[in-house]
Amino acid sequence: MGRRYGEPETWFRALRGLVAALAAACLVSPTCLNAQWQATVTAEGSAFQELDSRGFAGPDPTEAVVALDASVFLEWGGGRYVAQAAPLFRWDPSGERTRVDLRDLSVSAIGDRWELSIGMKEIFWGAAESRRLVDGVNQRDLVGGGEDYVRMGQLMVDLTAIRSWGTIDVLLLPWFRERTFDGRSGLLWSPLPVDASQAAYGPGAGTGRLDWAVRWRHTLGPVDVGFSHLQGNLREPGFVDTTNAQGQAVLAPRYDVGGQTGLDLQAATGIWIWKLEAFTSDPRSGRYAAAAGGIEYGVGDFLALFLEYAWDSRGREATTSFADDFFVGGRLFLPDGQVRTGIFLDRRTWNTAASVAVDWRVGNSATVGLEVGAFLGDSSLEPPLGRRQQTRISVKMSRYF
Amino acid sequence: MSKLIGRRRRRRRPVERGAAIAGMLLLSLGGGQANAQEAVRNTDGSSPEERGLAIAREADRRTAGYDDYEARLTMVLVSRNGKERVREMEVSALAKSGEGERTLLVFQSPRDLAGTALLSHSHAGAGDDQWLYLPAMKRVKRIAAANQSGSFMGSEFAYEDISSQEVGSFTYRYEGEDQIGDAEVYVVERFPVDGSSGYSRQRVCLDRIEYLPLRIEYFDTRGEHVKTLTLADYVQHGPYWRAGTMTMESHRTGAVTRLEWSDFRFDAGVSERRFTADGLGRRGR
Repeated sequence: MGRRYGEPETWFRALRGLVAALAAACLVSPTCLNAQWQATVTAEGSAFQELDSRGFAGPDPTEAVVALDASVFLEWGGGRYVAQAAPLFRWDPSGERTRVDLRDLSVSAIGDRWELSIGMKEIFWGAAESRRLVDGVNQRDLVGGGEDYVRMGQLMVDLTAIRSWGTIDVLLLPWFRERTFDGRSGLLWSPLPVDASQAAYGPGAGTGRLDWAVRWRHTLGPVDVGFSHLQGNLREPGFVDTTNAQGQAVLAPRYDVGGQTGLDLQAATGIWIWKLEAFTSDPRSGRYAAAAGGIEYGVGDFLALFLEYAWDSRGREATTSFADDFFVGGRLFLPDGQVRTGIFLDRRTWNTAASVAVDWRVGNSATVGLEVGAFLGDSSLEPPLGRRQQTRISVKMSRYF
Repeated sequence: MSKLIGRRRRRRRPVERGAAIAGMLLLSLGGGQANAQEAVRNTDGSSPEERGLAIAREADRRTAGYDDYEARLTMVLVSRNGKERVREMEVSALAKSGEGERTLLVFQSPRDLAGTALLSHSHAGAGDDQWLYLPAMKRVKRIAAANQSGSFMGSEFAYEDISSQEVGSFTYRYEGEDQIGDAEVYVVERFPVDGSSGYSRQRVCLDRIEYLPLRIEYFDTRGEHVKTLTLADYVQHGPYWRAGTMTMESHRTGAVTRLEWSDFRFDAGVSERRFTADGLGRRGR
C-alpha cells in the first residue's frame, strides 16, 4: 500500500487557511491587480420513463436538484500568483444526490517558462465531442449528470514547463477519490444498480497511494496534439457482481492500479476540424483500448455539426453502452440561446439514443433549459444496455451572479 | 472573431504593408511625419488610383506603433423593432513580431457566457487559428476560422469588417473631398482584391487632419449599398486615436450593431502566454 496523506478534511482546512491568508495579504497589497468571483444557482427537475423493466428496481421516476456552483479567482504580483477556489454544493430533497465538493482550491506561481500549482484542481484533457476518454486526472461524479459528468477536485502538485517544443506537465496526485454513482448512473451500461458503498481495491490500490501523471501538449500550426500517461489508481473502476444489504443483485466498483496512456488530437483544415482521442489501459482484467473521433463542420460561428465514431475494444463487456457507435450531433448558437443535439447510433443494431437540449437566456443573468433524451429502437437487441432504454425530460433554471 | 482589432506591430518600414480595415476601424495616429502628408497631397500628375493608394498608406502608417493593448468592448445588437441585446467583453491583442497578431476576447456578459474566451492567431496569407475556451468544462476547443463574409457573433459586422487587412487587400480610387459634420474628409473608394469578399466596393471617408475614418459605406457584389459604418467619439490614448463608438447599420434589415470601446491600455506588457491555446485553458473559470 502507498503512503497515507491524511484525511481529506485536513487538507481542506489547511488549504482554506492558506487561501484566506493569501487573500488577506492581497487585500492590503497595492500590487493586487485582479479579484473576480462568480456563482451560479441551478434548480433542475427531471422525469424518467424506463422502457426496459428486466428485473431492475428502478430509481424514482422523478428527481429534483438544487446546485450552487461558485468560483473565486485572485491574481496578484502582476499575474505571477494566482489563487482559485470553486466550491460546489448540490442538494437533493431525497438525499441521494446531495454533495459538497471543492472543484478547485489552489495556489499557483507563474513564471515565463514554468508554472507550479498546488491544491485541489480540475484539469481537462481531450478532443472528441461524443465521449470523454482521455479526461482522466479528475474523478467523475456521475450522479445526476451521467455521461455529462461533473469532475471532482483532485489534490495535486502540478509542475508545468513551457518550451518551444511544447508544454510538459508533471503531476503528483495524492488522495485518490472514488467515482460516485446513483441508481440512475448505473443505467449507463448495465441494468443493475451500482453500489458504491461496497467499493473494493485491488492489490496496491487505495486512497492513500501517490499517483502521478505526465502530459505533453503542443500546437503545431493547425494541429493541437497531446500525449498523457497516468500511473496509479485508475479512475475508471471495473465491476464485480454482488448483493446489497437487502439481498438485491448489485454491481460493486473495483479500483485497480495500472497505467493509462492517452492521445488527443485536433486539426483544422479550413471549415473542417478533425478530432481524435484514444487511450489504452492495463487493469488487471487485461489491456483494453477505446477511441472516439471524427469531424466537425462549422457554418459561420453559429452552427457546428459533428460526425464521430466511438469504439471500445471490450465490445459488449465495456462499461459503456457506446462501444461501437456512430455519433451525429450539432450545436446551434442563437442570439438568445443555444440548441444542442446528439444522436448515438449503434453500428450493428442501429438502436438510437437521441437527445436535444435547449438553453434560453432570460434577461442578462438567467437561463432556462429543457432537455429531452429518448431511446429509439428495439430494446430486445441490446437488453443489457439500460441507459438507452429510458426516456427522460428535464427542466432547468439557472441564475448567474 | 479573427483579428478583431488587429495587429498593429511596430513597423519600421515606411508604408508597404498593412493598413488595415481594422486600421480603418480602430485607426490610430502615429506621429504624423511630414513626408507622408506630402505623398497624399502630391496631386500633380498622380492618378486617382495613385492618390487613393497614398491616402490608404498614410492611414495605415499612422496605425503602426504598439505591441499590445487591452480594452473593454460593449457590443449592442439592436434589432429592427428596437430590441437590444448587450454583450460585454474584454479584448486584448498582442502583435507578435514575425507571427502575425493574436487577439483574445473574454466575455463578461451575458452572464451565462462569462469566462468564455475566444483566441485568434491570424497569419498573413494563411488561414487563421482559433480556439474557444469553455469555462464550465475548463476545455479548450479548436474551432474553424469563420468565413470572412459571415456575421461576427450575430452582429451586423462581417468578419472581414473587423479584421485587419493589408493595404494590398484592396485597390483604391480617390474620389475627392467632402464634409461630414464639421470634418473635412477625403473620399476614397476601395475594391477588394480577394474574390471571396462579400463586397464589390467600399466608400471610405477619412478626416483630412488625422486620417481617421469617419464613415464607410459597403456595397455588395451586385453593387447595392447594404451597410454603413459610422465612427465617432474619437479619443486619443497616448499617441493612439481610437473611435469610442462604431455603429454599423444594415440597410437591408434595419438592424444596427453598436460597438462601444473604453478603458484602452496600450503597451501594458500583456503576457504572451495568455495568447496560446495552452495558456488559454489554465486561467480562471
